[in-house]
Amino acid sequence: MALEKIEYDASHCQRCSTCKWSHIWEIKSHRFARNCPSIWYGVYDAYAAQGKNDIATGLLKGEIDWNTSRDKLLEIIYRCPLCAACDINCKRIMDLDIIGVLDALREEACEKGYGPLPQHKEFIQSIMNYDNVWKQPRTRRANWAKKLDVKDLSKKGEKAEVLYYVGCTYAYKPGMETVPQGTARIMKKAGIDFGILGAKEVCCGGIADNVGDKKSFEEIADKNLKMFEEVGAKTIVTNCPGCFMTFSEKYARYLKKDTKDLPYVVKHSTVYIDELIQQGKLTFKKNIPLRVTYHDPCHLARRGEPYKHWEGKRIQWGLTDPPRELNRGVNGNYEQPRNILKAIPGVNLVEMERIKEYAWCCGSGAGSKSAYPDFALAVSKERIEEAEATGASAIVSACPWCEANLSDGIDASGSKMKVLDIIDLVEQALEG
Amino acid sequence: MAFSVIAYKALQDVLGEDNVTCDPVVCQSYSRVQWLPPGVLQRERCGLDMRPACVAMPNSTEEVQAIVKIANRYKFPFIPRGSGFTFSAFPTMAGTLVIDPKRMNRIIELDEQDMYAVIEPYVSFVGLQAEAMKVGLTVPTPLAGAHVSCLANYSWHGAYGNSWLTGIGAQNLLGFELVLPTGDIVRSGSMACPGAGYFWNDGPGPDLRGFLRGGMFGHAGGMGMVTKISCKLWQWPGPSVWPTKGNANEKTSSGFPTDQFRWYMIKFPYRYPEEEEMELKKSAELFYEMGKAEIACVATHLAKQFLYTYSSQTKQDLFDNMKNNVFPCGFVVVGLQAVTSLKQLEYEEKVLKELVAKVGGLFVQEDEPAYRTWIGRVANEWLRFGNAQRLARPSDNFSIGSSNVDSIDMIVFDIMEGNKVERELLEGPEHLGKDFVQPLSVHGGWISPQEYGYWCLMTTDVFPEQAPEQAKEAIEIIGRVTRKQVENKSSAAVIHLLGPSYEMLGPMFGNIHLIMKKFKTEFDPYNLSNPGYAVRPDVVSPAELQKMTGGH
Repeated sequence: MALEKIEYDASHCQRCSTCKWSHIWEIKSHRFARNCPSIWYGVYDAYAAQGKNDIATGLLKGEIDWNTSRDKLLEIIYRCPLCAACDINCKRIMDLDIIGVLDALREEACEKGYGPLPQHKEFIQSIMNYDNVWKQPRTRRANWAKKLDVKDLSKKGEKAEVLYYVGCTYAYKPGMETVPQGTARIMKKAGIDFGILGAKEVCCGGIADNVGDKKSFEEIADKNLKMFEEVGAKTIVTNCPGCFMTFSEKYARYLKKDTKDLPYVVKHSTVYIDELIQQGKLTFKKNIPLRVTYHDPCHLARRGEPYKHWEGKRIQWGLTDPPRELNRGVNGNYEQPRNILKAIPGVNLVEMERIKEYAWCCGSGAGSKSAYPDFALAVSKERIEEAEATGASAIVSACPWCEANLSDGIDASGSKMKVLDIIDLVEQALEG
Repeated sequence: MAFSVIAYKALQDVLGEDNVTCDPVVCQSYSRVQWLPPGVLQRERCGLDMRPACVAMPNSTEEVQAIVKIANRYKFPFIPRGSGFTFSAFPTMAGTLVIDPKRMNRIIELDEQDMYAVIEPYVSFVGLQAEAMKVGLTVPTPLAGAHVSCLANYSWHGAYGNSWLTGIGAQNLLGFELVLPTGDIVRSGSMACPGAGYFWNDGPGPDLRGFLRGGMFGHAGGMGMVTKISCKLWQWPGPSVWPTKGNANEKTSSGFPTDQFRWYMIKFPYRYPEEEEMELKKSAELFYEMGKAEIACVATHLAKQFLYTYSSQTKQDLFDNMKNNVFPCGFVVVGLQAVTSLKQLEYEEKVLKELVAKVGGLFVQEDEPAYRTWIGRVANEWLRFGNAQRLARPSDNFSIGSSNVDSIDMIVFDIMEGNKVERELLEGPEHLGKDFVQPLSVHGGWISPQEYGYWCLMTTDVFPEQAPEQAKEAIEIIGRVTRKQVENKSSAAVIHLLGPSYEMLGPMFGNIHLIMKKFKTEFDPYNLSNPGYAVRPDVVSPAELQKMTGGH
């Protein structure tokens, strides 16, 4: 039973409410003091990590059960973007694996046959049928790369130093193809020897793991790991934080390894481009007079730390044997996107109140947008309001899911802000 | 216990369908309690259902009144809560309605000139402080943690990191609006004069702040629900945005301008634990001298376990620091702030140095591990929040065993007497707490002088694991420490783990519990507002206590 492995963590919650609020030192106003979209929207304690700990404990003790409370349990468990703001903030106080509890509740739902939700099943079925979440034919996967003369590493004999993994959303979503196209041009400009997997690129499978469907996830992970091995991928670059975290953390957990011991190194494009700038391989020439604010994608930022595998047990005082190194949001990818923006002439980066490890999530993660669009939209509108308070005219991000949801938030709130992908800005600044 | 369908419908009519629920999954999230070892709660001990029957979310004082009137009509118990941090928020009886105030989260007024704020129940300290800092003001910094409800903390006599300057909650509560268990409204302080506003805590008539001392009636919830308070704000010479460096656990707040804030750790040349008494007495002497000179915004003696837990970045880090004896003893921690000018700060620093030399103290130097670990990591937290939640880090469980109020001298006496009992039990033939790790067992040593040392607070703390045996031993030890304190007739209050102790200790204080019970009966004739006790009352029985105190 999935919950048994997190029994200690769930039952030792101290109900201090740290999971509901932003990092205390960083709270700059009463208005933007909250950090958990789930309870912010749901209001009752059940929607906070604290409540989910109580629910997990209640399920383990038989105080509540799936038979009588299935619908409410599913709503509480899945109306959450797994942004891990609760987890990271809790770990300032305690040494509990809160994100482990949230994951285990989803896994439990799937084990019982009640999860994932129908909207999630559609995604997973689409991956199984078409290798992508958008029910699109495989043959269209690399359409974005037409006329770009990019190597297809899935073809026999093709080799490259870097595998550029595009991901389903950038590959298929109309209007988003400019991001992979721009990335390819940027890498060419920097003289990088790279290639793609073309029509044979398979979804990373992160969504399956996020919603608790471990079996499907493992099947997809096996396909990708085999492909990475076949093409000899040593360095993988991706624009999608979801894919990045899946390859970096989820595959490592599945293989029972540390991220550093994986057969490949995976880098988000912002991390990679920041390195290229530091190495002098990219220089910005064009002035872009723009006041922007930056939205940290959860999977790149606080959830973007390298995974440290642990198997062991709790001993006296809740210490672990062997000692366990938990991800605490210390080493997320916070600075690299900011370094890039600060390096672009004319760009004026102004920060929102909630950033980095205490950033407010866009609201679309882990299947919450597909299953609970009203929730995702409300969370996005909250972020847009925060962004507008900075006086910026554009909100820049580095994630297709964040950008899509933030755009919806702008449309719904009537804001005049623009949503920009950082790659679009980088490409513009390199021109001239 | 099923909640009355008619009562539920009546609540829905008032609050709207979304704002009241009997859903067992939602109610489950209100069914547990923190800061207490398992087996302590009365209902848990008796194997009773821990879940409230219903949760309601009012949005206004009028809606709270309506809830309370419905409770009276249909005779169900109710309990209001703040952020839900302590067991005072825990339902004691089957069929209880929990009033969750999350929708009442407005800062109604922040008066920069008269230095007060009027707030609703779900305004957190940190949110209020963020707004206050923008206009050069601040709040007393709650040791319970800055996420907690200001209103609940003030009403329940919270203690603060800067209590040396501000005193506890009651001293900062300028007025309140209370919905009585009958549904009627009482306003205290100057607000009792219609239209006068909340600027002064002594309005006409008797001081009603005593109504909020719910320990007398139940398990600390008070009579009814406080729906609004006015709280005193303090001058803040610091930046309007808190300076930070680093991320998450490794974040520090060391960027404070040294011309506005300075921290000091002071030690005394005595061995721990053999000469702890001398060290505590010298600390007390320093506090008295500082009080006479009226200097500093923070002055407190932190016991070893506080220093280790507060400054820990991880559990492993805590135990590593203990192994390395980073804090070989307790320390006096002093914070100075330039409320008026740099000249004032320099004057206070000069006086402090003279006083420390006079009592034979030594300043901990910057290169000492204790300085690096405390001042380098967390000292500034005492100006924003006390972070008592981190006390749960050693055992993932924590409880304040007892809390005493007295003069500084008597608090030192209490600590030593308590520690003697505790050590006998830990080391004696009974081997209670044999699996505890010192100093993370039952231990006193925190001296928290209030209002320039006019009076003082301390706690005896317990860090049991959730193993039932250890929890039982912890309770036993706390019980015996408390008995000793009662025998000595030295403490003016003993609360917390011994939740119903006001009733037990009432005979010590002029039988105050009897008149408070009369108030309770008058204003809550059906005993619906926080009835019963959350915590087992048999740690010190009333009969035992009578015997010990000779009926006084």
